[in-house]
Formats: sequence, C-alpha cells, structure tokens
Amino acid sequence: MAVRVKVFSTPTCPYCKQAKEFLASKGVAFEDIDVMSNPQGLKEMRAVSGGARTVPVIVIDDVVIIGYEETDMARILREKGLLNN
Amino acid sequence: MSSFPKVTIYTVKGCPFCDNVKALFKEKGIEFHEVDAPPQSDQWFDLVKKTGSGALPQILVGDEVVGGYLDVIFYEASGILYQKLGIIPSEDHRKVETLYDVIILGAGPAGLSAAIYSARKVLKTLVISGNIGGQVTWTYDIDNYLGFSQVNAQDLIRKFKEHVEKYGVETIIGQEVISADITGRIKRVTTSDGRSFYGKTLIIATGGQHKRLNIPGEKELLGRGVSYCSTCDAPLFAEAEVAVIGGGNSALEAVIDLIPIAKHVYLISLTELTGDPLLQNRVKQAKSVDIFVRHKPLAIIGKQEVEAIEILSLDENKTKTLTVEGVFVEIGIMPNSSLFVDVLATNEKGEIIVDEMCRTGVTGVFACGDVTSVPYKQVVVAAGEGAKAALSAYNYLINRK
Repeated sequence: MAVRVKVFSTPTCPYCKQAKEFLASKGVAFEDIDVMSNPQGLKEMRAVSGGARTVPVIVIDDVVIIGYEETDMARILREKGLLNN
Repeated sequence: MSSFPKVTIYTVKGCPFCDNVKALFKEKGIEFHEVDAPPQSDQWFDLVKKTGSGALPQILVGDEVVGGYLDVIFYEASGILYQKLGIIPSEDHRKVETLYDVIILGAGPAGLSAAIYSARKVLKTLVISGNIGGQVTWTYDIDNYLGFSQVNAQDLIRKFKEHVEKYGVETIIGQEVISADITGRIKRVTTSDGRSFYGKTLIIATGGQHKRLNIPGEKELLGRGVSYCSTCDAPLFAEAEVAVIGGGNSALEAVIDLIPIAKHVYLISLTELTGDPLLQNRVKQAKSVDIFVRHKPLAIIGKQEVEAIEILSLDENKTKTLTVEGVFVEIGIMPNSSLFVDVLATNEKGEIIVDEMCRTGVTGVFACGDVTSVPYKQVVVAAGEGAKAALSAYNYLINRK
C-alpha cells in the first residue's frame, strides 16, 4: 500500500522531530523528506503548501498541515482512518 | 416540591458574572428564576431588603442567601448546593465534582516539576496544558541542565513526562484554558472544550510565547518568510538574503544559524546589541552580516511571500527598505498571563509578581516559571520554582481549615 503521509522537515527542527516521533509511536507509516539536503523536496513542499517556507509541512492524503500541533494531526489521521485510538 | 424554581438569580444587564452564574446553572441543568434588578429599581431595593447587599449577581436558594458567583462555585463544587436543593447529584454533576487539591496550568519544566512535588505529597493533582514541554519544545539541545552536559530537548521532555507518569498524575494535554475563576475558596478552570475543573489550589505555570513585532505584514506572511524558529526554518533560506530582528542572545544565535546558509544577513535591533559578548563577536566578524542598531522595523512587505522589510533609523529618522526573503523575529518572550492580569498583580512586562514562596497575593493561587517576575528564564530555574510552588501549595493546604 502506498504511503499516505509525508513529512517535509529539516534535521534541526524540534517540531518536525515531534511530529515524526508521534507518527512512529502510533505505527503510522510516513515518508520523511529532508528539505535541507533535497532541493527537489523543498520545491515539492512549496508547491503543495501554496508557497510555505516553514517546516514541518505534513501531507496526509489531500490534506496539507503547515506546522505541527499534535491534536490537529491526530484528528486528521483519525478522520482518514489512519489512527485507531 | 413546587414546580417553581427554587433558585433565584438577581442580575443586571452587561454584568459578566451574572452571565457566568446563569451559564453554570444551565450547564448543571438546574432551573432558576431570573430577576432583572438594575440598581435603584424596585427589584433591587427588594434584593437589598432580603440580603443586605446590593451586589449583583445575588443567588438565593429558597429564602436562603448563597451570595455571588464565587460562592456558587464553592457551593456547587462542595455539593452543598445540591443538599440545599434537596437533589441527589446526577452522574453528570458528580463527574465534574472531582475536587483536586492542586490544578497546575502548564506542562513545561515549571509545571511538571510542580506536578512531581505535589504528587509526592499525595495531593490529588491535575495538569492542564496545550502541550508538554512548553518552550523546551522550541529548542534542539540543552547544554546547561544539571546532570546533562548535553541533552536533546525532546529527550529531556520525554524524561520529564515519564517521571510525571510514574506518579500517576492526571493530565489533560491539548486543551487550552479559556477562563479561570481564582479568587474564591475553590478555583474553577474551564477548558476550550467547555469542561470545568475545580481545585483547592491553583499553580499557574503557563510560561511564555514569542513576542510579536505587531507590524503590517508580519501575520499575513507568517510561514511565508516570517519565522519565529530559526532552528527550524533557517535551512530553507539557502543563498537568500534574510533579516533577523532583535539584539539579544536568541537573535544573535539566529544570525549564527543563518551565516553558513544565507547569502546575506541583516541584523536589526531597536537598541544596541545586548547579547553575550562572545556571540556578538562572532556576528560582528562575519563578512555576510550587516548590523543595524537603533533601527525599528516598520513593515514586512510582500504579496505571496516576504520580499522586503522597511526599517526606520532612530538617529537619522530615515526609512530604508532592505530586500529580503526571510524575516526571523527574535525579540524575546512575553508571559502567558492574559487570563490573570485583571486579578493578579503583574509587572510592566505582564509577568505575574510572586514572593519568594511563589505566592501571587490571591490565597491558594501560586505561580512559577517564565510566567512570573522571577528573573533568568532557564529550564533549571523553572524546575526549581515549580518545586517551590508545589511545596507552598502543600503548606497552604495543611494550614488552612
């Protein structure tokens, strides 16, 4: 099954790390795109987010979240059936 | 029982506590009879005759005077109200009737340290916070916390969390507190999902947040070049021209983060630089940095993203526009004290003034960490202050009747 969650991040960003740890702890598969070392990834991030120049940008299917707020992300994951509790 | 409500509430239009009382009774499903009693009206004179007080709202159960809003909170939380009404509290009533010894607002180092100390005193403790970690979540590594020569901030938060969980402290994370009634014997806290919690004491450890410039373009271009987290977003400005606003350590550190990445960095400070001389030297020596001290940012310009920043020289009274793609705002922290400024004494920064025992001046209400007037905003200081606040709450509880 295709991975439905993408996290655009930088290695130094604490919020990115929190987001990724949350996903991992819930067993949600995700693709981590380091936009610092991957200019193509940065382009993609800016394209899907309407030009955001901040990390993390989290994409869940068709939903784009700019920034990380655990409750918001959990709600969307639940709506998408990616989170059981 | 008569069908006429036993509870009478005397109110006047435009009185927020009157609305609070009515909302509380509605929430509990208790019927009441409202009497509009503007001062000097017949109803008001009737109220004064019955109660000896003209203060509004006034609540009566039958002919018995309960008092004002804070009295109702106490009567409700302690169950006396239900006794007086002759009703057995339903499941719904009882659920919110849990009376905590300590309610702690905030789960940064101050709040979590307070939680551990109060749990170890076997106080029934509840922590309410939007997140765990507070400002530590903004940081990457911490190098000055005793016992850790270098610790990753997320790891430290995880350790704090595990420590608190070990004592079985109740936590509500992800909810903001929207109101707090703190002057009565029982403190009442309401969260954004509409639930209310009651405590004999309250510890305010709500910390701080990034200060905003409050200039045009800042809000509109947030995440589109405007950033409050240089650690996060600096790598997205490779080969770009950027501005950093501020003159303290955070601003200087942001510049140092940006030097190897950006093409050019403008450091703009309202005052002379105030950060550590060590950091100042590193910034001053860098070829790609221009420093504008005694300059005030006026506006951030850009349609879809940041294109420029307009600044004013305080000495020459001239404006200048710098072409930049990024603006990093690092002008310090403001305390999250807005819920309490009407009730508690605060200093000119809005920090809650506390004494050496973390007391606020309102009995049973304590404060600790970055929301207070205690100087030096450090993790280790906040943790120490949290411990003090919890011990003071404990002393208050065992000494009160």
